[in-house]
Amino acid sequence: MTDNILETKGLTVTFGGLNANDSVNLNVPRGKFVGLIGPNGAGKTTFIDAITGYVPMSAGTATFAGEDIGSLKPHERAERGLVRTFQSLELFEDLSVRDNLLVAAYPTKWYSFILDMLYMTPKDQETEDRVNWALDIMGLTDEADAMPTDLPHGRRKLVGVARALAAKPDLILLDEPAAGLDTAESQKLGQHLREFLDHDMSVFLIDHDMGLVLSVCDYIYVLDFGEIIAEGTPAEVREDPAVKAAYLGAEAGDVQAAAAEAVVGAQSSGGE
Amino acid sequence: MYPAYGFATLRESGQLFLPWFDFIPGPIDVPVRIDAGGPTSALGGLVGALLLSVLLGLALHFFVFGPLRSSPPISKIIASLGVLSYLQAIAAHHFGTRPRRVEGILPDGTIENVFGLGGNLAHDRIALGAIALGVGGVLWAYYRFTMTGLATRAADESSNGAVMLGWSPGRLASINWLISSVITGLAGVLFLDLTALSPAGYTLLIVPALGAALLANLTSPMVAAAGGIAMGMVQSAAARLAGFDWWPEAIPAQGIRSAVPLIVIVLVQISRGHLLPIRTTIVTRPQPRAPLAPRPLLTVALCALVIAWLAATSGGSSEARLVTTLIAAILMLSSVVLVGFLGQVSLANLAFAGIAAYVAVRLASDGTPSEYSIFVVDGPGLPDPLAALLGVVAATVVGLLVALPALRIRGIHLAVVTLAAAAAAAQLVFANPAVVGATAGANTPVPQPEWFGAYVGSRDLATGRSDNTAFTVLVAVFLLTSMLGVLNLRRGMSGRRMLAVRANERSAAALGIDVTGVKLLGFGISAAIAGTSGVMIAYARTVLSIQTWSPFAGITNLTLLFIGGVGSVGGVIIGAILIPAGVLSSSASEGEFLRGAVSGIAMITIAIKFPNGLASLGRPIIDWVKMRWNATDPHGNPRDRGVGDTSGQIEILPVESG
Repeated sequence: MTDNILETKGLTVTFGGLNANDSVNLNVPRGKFVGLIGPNGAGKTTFIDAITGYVPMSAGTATFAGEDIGSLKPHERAERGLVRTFQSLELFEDLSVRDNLLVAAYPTKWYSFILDMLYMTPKDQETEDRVNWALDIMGLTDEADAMPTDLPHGRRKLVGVARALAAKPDLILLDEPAAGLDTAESQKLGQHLREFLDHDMSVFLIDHDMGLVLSVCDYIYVLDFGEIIAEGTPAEVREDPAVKAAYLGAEAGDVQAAAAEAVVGAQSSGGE
Repeated sequence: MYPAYGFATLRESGQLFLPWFDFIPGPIDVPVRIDAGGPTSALGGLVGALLLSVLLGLALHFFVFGPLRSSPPISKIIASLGVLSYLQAIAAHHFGTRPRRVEGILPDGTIENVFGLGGNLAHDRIALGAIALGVGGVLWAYYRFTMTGLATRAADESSNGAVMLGWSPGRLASINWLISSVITGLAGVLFLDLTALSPAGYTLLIVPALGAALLANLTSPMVAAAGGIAMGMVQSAAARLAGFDWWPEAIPAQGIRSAVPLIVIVLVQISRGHLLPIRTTIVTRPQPRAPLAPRPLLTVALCALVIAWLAATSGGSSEARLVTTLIAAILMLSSVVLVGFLGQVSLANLAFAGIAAYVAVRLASDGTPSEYSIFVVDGPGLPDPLAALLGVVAATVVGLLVALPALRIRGIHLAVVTLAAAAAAAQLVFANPAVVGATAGANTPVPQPEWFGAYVGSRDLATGRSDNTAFTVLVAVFLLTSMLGVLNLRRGMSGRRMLAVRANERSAAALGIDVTGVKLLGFGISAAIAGTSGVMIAYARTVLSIQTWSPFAGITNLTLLFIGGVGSVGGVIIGAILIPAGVLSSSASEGEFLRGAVSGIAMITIAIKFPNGLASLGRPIIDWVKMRWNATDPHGNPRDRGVGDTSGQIEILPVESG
């Protein structure tokens, strides 16, 4: 048995009688890069929402690092090392890029505010280093003191990922980090993402960009109408007839063409 | 409220006062009244009132809320408060503030012993209920069956969608403002039979009204009408319960009556609300800025110098005005934390202050008769600093209680809840014989405060003038410490967490920020600072009276803070300078009226044009000066510092490196 950092068993999310996620069994082995792909409305973001506590699970279990996290609040899950990004830009617009990261990284005690009001909070070098590292790995060091609203869209997406990195995740859940990026930006992002594995992290990625997912993931799950219809290594998924039929469309034999189509779809819809 | 006055004056004298004042001094007279040539009939009065209401409604739509359609909720709240300030000031100017009884249009008489149940039922109540349900039914049918009604509902979901279908959101909004203002005007006239007419009391009717509207989820007119009637019945029943022997005397009937809407609103909102906003409700639009002050210690030191200079050069009533300004500044600081940093619009901060004041005064009382009040209030006679501390603790606890609904209620709904809380606090606490230690509505004498051997009341015991230096120093010390604390909070992690929560609760939680904890922290700190100001207000007076803590006084304070700038200490300074009876005030009542009207208009302008307040206008000026300065710097050294640069502080505060 491998050591799974995240395990879901029979995870089901129901919205008004419709199963957005239907009995999803999914594992993320520690130190691996796992991807989840599926067409628009397949329930990918709902899956992340469910395991991070943003929508309630109707049935099933979610286990993180051996602990059942089903009843924990979102911030409690984040404190345990399960950190997500958002598909839409949900940055803290009033804070500089560095402050966006610092606020995610700094540890809090109940008495922190007293120290803050007295201006006696000790500087936490470890946290500062972590923030600098996260800025560096995403190539944002030069923009650290800018306000997020002053950055172009692609850079802001990177701030979102850097901010999640600053929060010391054991497993980082990336919700369409490449949506809205151009091809070059998307490829560059893919190179960064593999580096995360060298820093005691596991990565779970959902994206429309088939090219990105197939190139960076160790293992891929395919979701359609809320159900897992296929899983395997990128090579296996690429050749899976069920995937070709359900996700790529019956007539699309060429995965790359479908991938390009998916990117266009992501850009034009901007969300699901 | 205003159309009700229109009805009243038409009936009494045949005059209709228009909702503005003769704003141009000098020979040109702006017409402010229309004379109908003698008292009109009830119908004439009603028509006049409705026309007035429609005029007001359309003016609000075109000049205030139309331009604000795509602004963040906080701007709309500010504008609403501005409108409220303006109309209250105008009404007070035209009609005075004393409550008056006006004969309305509802039938007189009562049905005795209804259904043999022993109670009486007045005709006007039946008529009112029927009208409410009738209006609700007509509205329901209108929005259900007509194309305009359908388009309105569609535009509410998506204004762009409605545009694509050929409906102008602006025109739809005008139609709905028209409908709304007719109903509001009608309601204003109908209420005359039930309650006395006064600018403040009438306006508070908004609390149960919004309770009913929220009950209907702001969508169903029938549920709102029925809910409103049901809530009135519960209120009456609850008030009647208080007449029984077993009812604890500590809860007055009027208090329970005013608490019912609060409880209903809170329960409804909590049952519907989410701890975190759900995916579809997330809207990110710019909020008023909360800029980082580059050098907190310098800022506070400068303030200290200015205060010291003002205190040294003033005496008598001008020193009293200085102290009033300083106390108002403390209260505004409490709003900076809650509204500026955390983005939670609270109209209850003055109520927090009042709670601290009453607790502190009561705990310090020892039954010694006061020369300023006929009431003798007994109490444990605790030392004043301890009593003050316990007062602040009590305010903090109440602040945390008010924070509980805020965990699930956001935006304008939260503002309404806090207004309801402030109204309930007035009846439950400040008018409560068990708390004030005398009969309801009595003025509680404030014992002469003494801190560590020094007398710190505002009144100089030798001269009888309100310029005791020890008190000025005490207030200044509290103001400066709170100011430094708030500035440090902003540059520390706790303040940044508040801004993060204000910007986006969902992503804050995703990064491990405890949104609930941060909100409780904000409410706690804010209520504690507000409580401090409350104790100071108590010390500035010889007796405590309920009017001091009215929700509208609190709104005035917040209004002026918004004009200054809600997110910064600069905003506090500007706001506090503008406060009634503050350093800029004149003693003429005409001046006070103008202040209310003008600050209302200023508030609306701020909301539309300068959401960051007047203080934000200073920044570009400073930057421009700096730019000029840099250009002429003979050594060519860069003098400009980044906003986030705190390196200047590290030399002063060595703890930074520890």
